[in-house]
Amino acid sequence: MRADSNTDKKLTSVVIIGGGTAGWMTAAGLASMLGQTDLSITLIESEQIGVVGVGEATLPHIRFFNETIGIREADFMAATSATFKLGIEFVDWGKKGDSYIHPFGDFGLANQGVDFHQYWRKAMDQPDTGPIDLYSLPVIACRHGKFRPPSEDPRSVASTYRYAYQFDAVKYAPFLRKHAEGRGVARIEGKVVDVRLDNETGNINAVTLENGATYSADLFIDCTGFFGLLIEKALATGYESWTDWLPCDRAIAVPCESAGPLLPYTRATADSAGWRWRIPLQHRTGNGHVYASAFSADCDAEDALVQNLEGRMLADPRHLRFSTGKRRKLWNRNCIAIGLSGGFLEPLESTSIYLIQEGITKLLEHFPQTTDLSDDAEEYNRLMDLEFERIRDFLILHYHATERDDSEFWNHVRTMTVPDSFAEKMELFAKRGRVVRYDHGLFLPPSWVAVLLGQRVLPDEYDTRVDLMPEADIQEHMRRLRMLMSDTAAKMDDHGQYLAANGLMGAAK
Amino acid sequence: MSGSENIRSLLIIGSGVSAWLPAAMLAARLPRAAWRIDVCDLGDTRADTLLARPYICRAHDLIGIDDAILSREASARPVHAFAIETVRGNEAVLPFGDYGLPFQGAAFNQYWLRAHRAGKARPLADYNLALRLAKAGSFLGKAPNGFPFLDYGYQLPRQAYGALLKHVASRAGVNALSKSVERVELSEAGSIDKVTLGGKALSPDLTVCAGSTVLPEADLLLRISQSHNGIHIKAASKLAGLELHQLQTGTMRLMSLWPGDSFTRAEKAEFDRLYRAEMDRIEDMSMLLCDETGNAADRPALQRKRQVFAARGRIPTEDYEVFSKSEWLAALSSCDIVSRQYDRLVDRMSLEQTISMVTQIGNRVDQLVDKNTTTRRTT
Repeated sequence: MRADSNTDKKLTSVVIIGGGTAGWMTAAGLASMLGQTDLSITLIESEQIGVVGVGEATLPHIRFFNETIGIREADFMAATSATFKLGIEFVDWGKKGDSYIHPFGDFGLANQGVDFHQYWRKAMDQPDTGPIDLYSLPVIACRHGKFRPPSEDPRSVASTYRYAYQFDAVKYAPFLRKHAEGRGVARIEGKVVDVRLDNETGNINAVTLENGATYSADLFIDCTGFFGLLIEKALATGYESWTDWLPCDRAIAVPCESAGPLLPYTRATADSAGWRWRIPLQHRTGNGHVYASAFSADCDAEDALVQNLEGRMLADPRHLRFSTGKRRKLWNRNCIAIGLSGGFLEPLESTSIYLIQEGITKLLEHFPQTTDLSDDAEEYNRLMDLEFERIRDFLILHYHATERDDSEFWNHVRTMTVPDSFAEKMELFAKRGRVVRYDHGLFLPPSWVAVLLGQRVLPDEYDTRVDLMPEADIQEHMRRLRMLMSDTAAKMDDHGQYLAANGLMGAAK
Repeated sequence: MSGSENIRSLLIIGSGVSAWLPAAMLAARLPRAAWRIDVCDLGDTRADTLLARPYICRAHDLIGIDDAILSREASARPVHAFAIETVRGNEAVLPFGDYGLPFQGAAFNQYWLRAHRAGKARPLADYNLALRLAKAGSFLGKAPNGFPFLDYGYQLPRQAYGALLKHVASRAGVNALSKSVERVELSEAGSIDKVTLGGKALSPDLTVCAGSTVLPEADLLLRISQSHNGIHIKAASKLAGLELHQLQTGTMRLMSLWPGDSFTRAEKAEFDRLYRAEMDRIEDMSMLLCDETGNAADRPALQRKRQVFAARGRIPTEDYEVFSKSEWLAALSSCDIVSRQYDRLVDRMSLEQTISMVTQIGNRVDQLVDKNTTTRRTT
């Protein structure tokens, strides 16, 4: 029997273990939204333990997070050496020599319920039509290194995109710490050496630090990264591995000096056993190589990374090991895993910080009034599982939809068995360009279209409803769109100049 | 195949509204020069009234009929809510509009829960414009800015509405054929080869059966729906408002998956997947309100709705929801499920502020309903 609400104890305390990006985002989010509700929030972190500092590249959703907790964009950008981001460039994915951009915005304009790419598919063989990139303002802006915030006028073509940031994640946590402490979060310096469980309920009662101090709480948040100190080491929650479909399990990260213009996009270049990232920040460029250890030796992967740096290396390469997947329960008993402790999906689509943010948002939505947590946990886990699984399918797409056959790795991912639901999605698009739609999940149809077309999955036919519009009208409509996109992009600012002119540059370090 | 090399043919088999709603919608969407649309209307003598949910406006916009035409030609009556007799013997009134206004990330009913616990709130239904107007027998259309969201559907006499749809479809070039189907012949490969109607054999490129069509052979509907060039738009729910809704959404799904020569396996699978998802959501509501067993054990989404609502007044959503959160809130409340807690986010406001906000919204709803009712009386 469930305890009656009157007899439940009010939930009054939260302890967060771990102070990296996930820890301080959680602390700042809880303090800003629930700080006035008699909730004590404590964060325990140890300076002895380094942070992974994931997610230098983000998705547009982070703007909402920052706004909601009361962070000014200019302060944030200067503090974290941030640049703007309009999309991700994928190089060599469909075939060596290919390049496409997955933008934060739509292609063209839908007409009578029919997506723009269907009109483009019909017209693509006409000499003036050109690639679909010509019909996306953020793609054109990326290609020319331009930026301007989107218009708020929904009638304007300049309102058809969104933007995110590329920032120094190691600087984000201290920035948020200041914000969170200002809103009442108590920070404790110390290393957790013991986790005490309740014999009867299995809940976490308290954690003990090296100095002997003990901290108890009603709810614990595990932000200890891959280690999973509470969720795994203490609660043995279990892990669901997705390495059959996403075989990359290693990453090497290294910063280098900036070279060339400051670009408003992240680049992901496919390599022989994985892919390399390049993220331009104000003061340096973040680089990394994600690869599958079954197909590449660590030293070869490091060589590939270092040899392709565009500027002087600024630190020794850092090696990380991971297993793609997620905890069987992200909320187990009175513990919630947020960030890498909950799961890991490679940063190909910059989803790491997004998943932290979703974890926090859903926790706020389901934040318990009392210590009876069962219903909240079940619903939280269902929604987070959906998020993880739908992102996973989108990542699989990048590897599976390829013509590459130049390495064992690419032969493996191109021919691997994929889930039936995924195969049906591919078949549906390949026939007539249809994209499966859901109400829940991060990546909407324009994202699927960008990656599918970008990786050479060209539909055999187009939606026949396109034929309702006379061919000459389609041509004229597309000509006008091309001009509009091109003219609007030309009026945008150089990305680097925009940052400097608007006081968004921080002190170089 | 069709008589002309360039023009392809579509045969729609249905009964009254179930034949003519898809026909009118498809005629508005398919190029007239490329498709010939024939309808075999098996007839429907029912003289009942259909409920159309607000979503029907998308179909009406497509086929070019507005409120004035609906009222004049089909004696349509706009409605803000509809009632369902529940298995418990009470009436669940489901609104086409929201309860109060959301604030700072929490739904209005969360603030109401807190105020109600303190004994300072009226029944939740008092804060829903749609329910208040329906109770007062009044109609407002859409709500002004700053008021709870309000929408409307229609009560439509089946025969008059069917005649209007037939008129619209015919004007768009749809042909009415015989009123009986004698035979449907399928090839070994699984395609519909020939359909015999009133003694005349046709070879349509595509065949659509819509609604609960009764055909001469028991398994014919299934065979048509499994064929490469046939599809069945099902409208199986008995809940008010769902017959038209399913005909409309089924036709829209068909339009979005409109085939070239025949349906591919993946297109059929997608059509069926979306139908099943929609039907699941409808059956959840049906089970909650109308099933005598009330056993939701094999309906996880319904179980979730009951549990999460009982725990904290939230309505968890699935992909492809049919009913709005407000409709679910009304339905769950009609089952006497009382939420044990409210959202923690509500506690950011003091109890006094919460009560004041809830009271203000109630007063504004009162004023608008009173004004509208008075205006109607005087006019």
